[in-house]
Amino acid sequence: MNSRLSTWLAKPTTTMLLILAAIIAMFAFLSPTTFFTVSNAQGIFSNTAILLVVAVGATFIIITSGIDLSVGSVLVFSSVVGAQAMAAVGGDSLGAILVGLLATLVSGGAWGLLNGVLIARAKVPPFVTTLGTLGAAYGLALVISGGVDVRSVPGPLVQFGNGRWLGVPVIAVIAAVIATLAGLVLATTVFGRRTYAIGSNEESARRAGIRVERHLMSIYTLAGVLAGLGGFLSLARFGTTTIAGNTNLNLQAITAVVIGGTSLFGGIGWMAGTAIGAFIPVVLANGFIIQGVVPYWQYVAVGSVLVAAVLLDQRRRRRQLS
Amino acid sequence: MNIKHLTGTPRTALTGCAMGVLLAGSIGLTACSTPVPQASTSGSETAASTVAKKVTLILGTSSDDFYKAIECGAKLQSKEAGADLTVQGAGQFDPALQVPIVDAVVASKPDAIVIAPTDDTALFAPLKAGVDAGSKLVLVDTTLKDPSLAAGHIGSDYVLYGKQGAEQIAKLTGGKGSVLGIFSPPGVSTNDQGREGFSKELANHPDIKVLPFEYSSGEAGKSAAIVNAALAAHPDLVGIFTFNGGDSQGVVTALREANAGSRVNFVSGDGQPFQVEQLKAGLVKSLVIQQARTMGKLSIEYSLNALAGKEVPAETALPTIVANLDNLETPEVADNLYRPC
Amino acid sequence: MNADEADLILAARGIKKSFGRVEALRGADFDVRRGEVVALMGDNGAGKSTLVKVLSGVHSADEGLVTLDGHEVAFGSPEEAREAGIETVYQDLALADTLDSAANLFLGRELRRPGVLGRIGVLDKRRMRQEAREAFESLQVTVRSEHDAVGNLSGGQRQGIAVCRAATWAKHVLFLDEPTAALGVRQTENVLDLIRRVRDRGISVVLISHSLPEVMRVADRIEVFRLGRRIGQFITADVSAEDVVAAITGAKDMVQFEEGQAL
Repeated sequence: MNSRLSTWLAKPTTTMLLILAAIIAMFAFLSPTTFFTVSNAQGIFSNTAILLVVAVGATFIIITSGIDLSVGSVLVFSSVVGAQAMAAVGGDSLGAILVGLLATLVSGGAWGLLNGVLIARAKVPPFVTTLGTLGAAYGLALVISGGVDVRSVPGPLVQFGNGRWLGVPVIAVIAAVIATLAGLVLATTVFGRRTYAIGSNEESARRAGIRVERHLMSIYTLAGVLAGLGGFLSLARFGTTTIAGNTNLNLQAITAVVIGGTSLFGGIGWMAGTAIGAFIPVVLANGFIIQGVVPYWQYVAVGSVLVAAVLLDQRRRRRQLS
Repeated sequence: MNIKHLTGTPRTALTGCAMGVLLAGSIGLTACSTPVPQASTSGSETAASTVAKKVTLILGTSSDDFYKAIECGAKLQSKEAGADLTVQGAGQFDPALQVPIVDAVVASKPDAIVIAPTDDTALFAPLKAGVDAGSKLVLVDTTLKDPSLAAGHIGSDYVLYGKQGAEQIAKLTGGKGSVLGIFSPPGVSTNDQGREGFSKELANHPDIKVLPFEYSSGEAGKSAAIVNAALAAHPDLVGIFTFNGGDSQGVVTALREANAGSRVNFVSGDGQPFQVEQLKAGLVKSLVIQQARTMGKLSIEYSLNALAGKEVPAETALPTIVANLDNLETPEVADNLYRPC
Repeated sequence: MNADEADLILAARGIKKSFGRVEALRGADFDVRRGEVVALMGDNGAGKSTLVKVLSGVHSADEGLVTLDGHEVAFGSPEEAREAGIETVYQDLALADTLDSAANLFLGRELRRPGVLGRIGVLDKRRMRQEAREAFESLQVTVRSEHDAVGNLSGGQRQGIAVCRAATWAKHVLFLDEPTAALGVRQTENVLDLIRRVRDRGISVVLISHSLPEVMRVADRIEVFRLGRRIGQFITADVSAEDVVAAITGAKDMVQFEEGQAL
């Protein structure tokens, strides 16, 4: 077998793509007129979009063998700040909406930078750092919002958030563009390669002259900005901050990345895998609900796929690293 | 084929495919088998001439006892009326989690959707998609900003809820002393109406001093802290009312720690199982319960009526019921306590 | 400066380095001539690693003088030493195991595409692969598969890649710390051949090794350290293995060496 082809086939991403295809095929077979429809597909794309945006940031981090548990809280914090910023500006103008966008990106980026500084400079392990910022960001979000969702989002933004371009939900298009750009950066640029290098062996990267601390700070900041963007898209889609609904987003993002074939131990990963990994749980949940299955089975299924993905990764790392 | 002999790529691909087939197979099996507590077999692509109407009930959360009681009522009514009921719900009361469920339910094209919406605005568009596709919509418990989308809404009379709480407090305290009300922060319409009813009723008792309201949405830790502070600041505190049942654990704990259980009369809204235990143990004097099971029953009745083209009232506000040790066993109270059936 | 001194590409004089109360180097001297392989030997604690770290910029000396190609230098960081043309391969090889051989060769010095793409950071993977191939070939290092992660390769190949990388970027001196410690006989041979080729290319190789047989086979000269100072310099061809061992262990008096047999 030709070397490039066999490398591609061996990628865990390929396996996961096949699994996704199998899942879709199964549900399509069971419910051809309800699951396999354009409108249901549109719903699935909508419901994957925000998770994908956040998972893009998580991909970079996990490739450096780091982790970010704070993404859900940062998303909530940014959406609260963004909603209040727009309310402060007042009105429905594009200006107000752009202020909201800026506020979400900056507040998300600020938390990301804090994570980066603590992890890269102060050398606090990522798990501990982001566990701390998870709590802090969530708490501050509650303080700022008084514990109640902020529900005044400009109408035009909500229209935008629920709109479609050529039949595809807008937020899904945005997520796809971001995932594609990020995937290209990861696969074809110096920044991407150094991300893999740091994850593979941080000390080797450092000795090769790579500014490891600076690189890690950029990655965590990027993840924060993306969480902020997720917060903005969430405001656009739901017209409200959704404080209680993002408590598991961090684990969902990590699940998506790991299911997609990126290794939790660093140095290996693919953005395409993350996209597939983001779809699998959403498709599973959607398919189960259409089947009328008790919701709890979804967790069992997603858990099984995750375990399968990690097992595959383990076997891969033990026998061959490609 | 002995896969041990295969190495590297082919073996991993094969294993991956095997897992994929296994997973897909398990999906198929769980789908084909009759899932757990449902009124009848799960939705499948049966012929259009089926008589049983498909109704999907989407709860606020899947594990809350209040919603379980609604589910119970819905199940009983579905069985009686011969409807095919499916129940869904997310783990948290949040639109970000409920919207994907609504999307999937809408795609499954049920005859009717009954839902306790977790946000009065965010759920509008997804539900409208369902109505446009031909499903009838009934709202239960919470409502939408624009409820005209639905055939009807069934909730509780929240003003009465607060009023009854106040009446109980006034009775128990002999109409004298300081009284504290703990509600969800302003903006939650049910609680806002409850506060309105509570305040209005207590205005009829001039010797009762109504302390400034404190806010908690069913968080025991928060309500405990609130009560601790209140006991310290107001030695003449004689009555506490919590609108949300989730807060009662915190209140009971704080009262016990301060040894104030006999001095302070505690009345709570909601009738979750642990609250019933508290009532029996004398830790709470009365409960103001919503007719959750009735809500569930009516939601199915209204759905089927709407499907049959019959009249359905746009707004139904079921009166709340005061439960105490005397009437705990009566069917009216016992049936509506919050628990699955 | 005599004729000998002019021959020195790298020289250290009177280096002192302490860590707290531990005096690792106590006035150490060290010579590296152009185009030679010089072995740095000594028992544990003799100060070999510390000397290498000082000369490659990891530590700065408390006292003493280092000259590179006749000019006094003081490296504040490994980057400065690398920029001056000194490369080091430590025992851990400092490879990125999940990246392929070309990526490792260009680690930290990635080639970019020309023009706009390059300015935004797009890698020129094809050119790196090509140049890596040439670099490996020129030093006769075999890489089983270009696309394979180096973590999958054998210890000998990994060593070859690490040495080749350092040799590609080094201008003057290459330090190798125990390069054959974890290798089998055949792989060790390959590495020794590689060392000779690097020297033949004009880069001096400083070989830290505990293995006298290897040193006797590949090194032109041997400098022996004991207790933080150089106590012996030998020309390999002219010295016996026993004498070197005696120097390392201190069996023979230091004075004897300085007077009689040192060069």
